[in-house]
Amino acid sequence: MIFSKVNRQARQLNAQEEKRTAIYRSLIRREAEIGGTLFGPVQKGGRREFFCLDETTWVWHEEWTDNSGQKQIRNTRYDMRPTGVLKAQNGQGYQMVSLEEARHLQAAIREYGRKVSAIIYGSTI
Amino acid sequence: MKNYRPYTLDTDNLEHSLSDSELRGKVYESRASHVRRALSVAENSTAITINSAVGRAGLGQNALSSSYKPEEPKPVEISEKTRLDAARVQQTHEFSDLLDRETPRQDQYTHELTELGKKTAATDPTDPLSVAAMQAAVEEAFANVDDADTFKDTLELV
Repeated sequence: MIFSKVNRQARQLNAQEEKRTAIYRSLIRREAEIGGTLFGPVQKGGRREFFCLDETTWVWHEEWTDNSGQKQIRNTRYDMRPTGVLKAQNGQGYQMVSLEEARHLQAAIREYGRKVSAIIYGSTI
Repeated sequence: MKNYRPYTLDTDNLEHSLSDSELRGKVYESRASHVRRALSVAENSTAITINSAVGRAGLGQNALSSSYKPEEPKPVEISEKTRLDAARVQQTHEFSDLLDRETPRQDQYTHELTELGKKTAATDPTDPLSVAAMQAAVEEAFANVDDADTFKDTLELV
């Protein structure tokens, strides 16, 4: 009797956790779409996403087709450290971002905050 | 033989299921909070990077250039009024210094005069410069004068 009750509640909790994860991921995907519109038009057949992965990590995912018809992918990860911003591309080593890139990133993140706040979260951000 | 504690589960403390709308609201709130904190962290980190890069760029463009020459310090422009005020202040200071130096001398002079007066009062009557000596000399002269005053008769005659 008690085991069936526990099992039922455990299944409910698992389902709830899965739902929670799915909703959270769908929000990130929606943010990534909005973030992808911040840097101008995307090449036909290409794809761009820019989003906040967690409190200290921002991701820029770019897909495009080069002149030889080869599909290219570049993942840029920005890590926000107390000493500044580090970036790593396609899993390579970290490097400090340049002055110009830091300015662009700062502007992009501010615009990201404004847009996702207005479109998704209302005035909560 | 070991005594095993019976396994118990407090089912009352298990989280109650949330409705879909409640769950969605909670997740939205949670994600918004994460993004809000991420924006704040990113603002600080990018600002630090920009400030340090601007500092490096400013130093590098000047100091690393082969034609870089440190600027000569420019003289500070001083208006005529400021110059006059400074001179007046300087004069006042000099006057103050002068007073500080002269006052002890004056006191010394007064002291010397006082000492001289004391010394004069206690002077020997034979001292020709002494007032007492002069008075004594006059009294002595009158005491020794005889009746044959040459001038007395003459005067009476006149």
